[in-house]
Amino acid sequence: MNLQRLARGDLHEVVASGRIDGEGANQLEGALGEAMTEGAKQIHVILSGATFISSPGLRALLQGWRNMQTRGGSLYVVDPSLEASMLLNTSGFQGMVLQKA
Amino acid sequence: MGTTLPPVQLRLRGQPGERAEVVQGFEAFCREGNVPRVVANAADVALEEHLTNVLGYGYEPGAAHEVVVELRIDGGCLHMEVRDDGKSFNPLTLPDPDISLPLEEKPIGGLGLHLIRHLMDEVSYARVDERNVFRMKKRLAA
Repeated sequence: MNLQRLARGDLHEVVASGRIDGEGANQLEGALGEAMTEGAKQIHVILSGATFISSPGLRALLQGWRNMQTRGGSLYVVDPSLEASMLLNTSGFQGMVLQKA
Repeated sequence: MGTTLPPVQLRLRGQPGERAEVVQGFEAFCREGNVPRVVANAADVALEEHLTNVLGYGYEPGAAHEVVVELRIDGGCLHMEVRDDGKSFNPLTLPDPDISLPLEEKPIGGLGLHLIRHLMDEVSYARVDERNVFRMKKRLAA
């Protein structure tokens, strides 16, 4: 998995691409934690290049979403790939996906 | 769409790098069998989830083990059979989590088995010759 992080003021973008398996989920969790530590008010997890995501990746997203809610912030999945969309929908995570206007 | 292809067996015995080899073997099989992308991805997730459960809960830490994955295309379906010599356990006895709950209340655990059940068209379990045998089947056509 490849992971990139970009901070634009209060908005932090985490771009996760490739295979988000158990090991990838740990990296994603770490990146989300770092963004929160750095004071992100909003986190966008961009999954357009995610070719695979399984339950540990979904758990990392859910935990991150809850942590941001607790802090009064928000976390959204942005532009999920076909593979990521299938998993998010099958798991009832649609509410986490940022809908384009 | 799927073509005639001999079955493939992949083995896990606790050696470094095996999981990556299984992924590579699975991807190569799907490529050679012209398995549609959506089907291959669903099966990839289901196989990953089951192997994670077997290796995480089926054995004592550090215990010797042998897990055999067989991939086969037959009758317009992708068949995956996983045989392991771990503790006797039928995962299909576990309840499905309630995924209709809002994100605030959604359970953190149990998603793996939910994904297997919902991404595959058929799943079954048997205990045969002191081994757990878990079969998953996915139609190649929508």
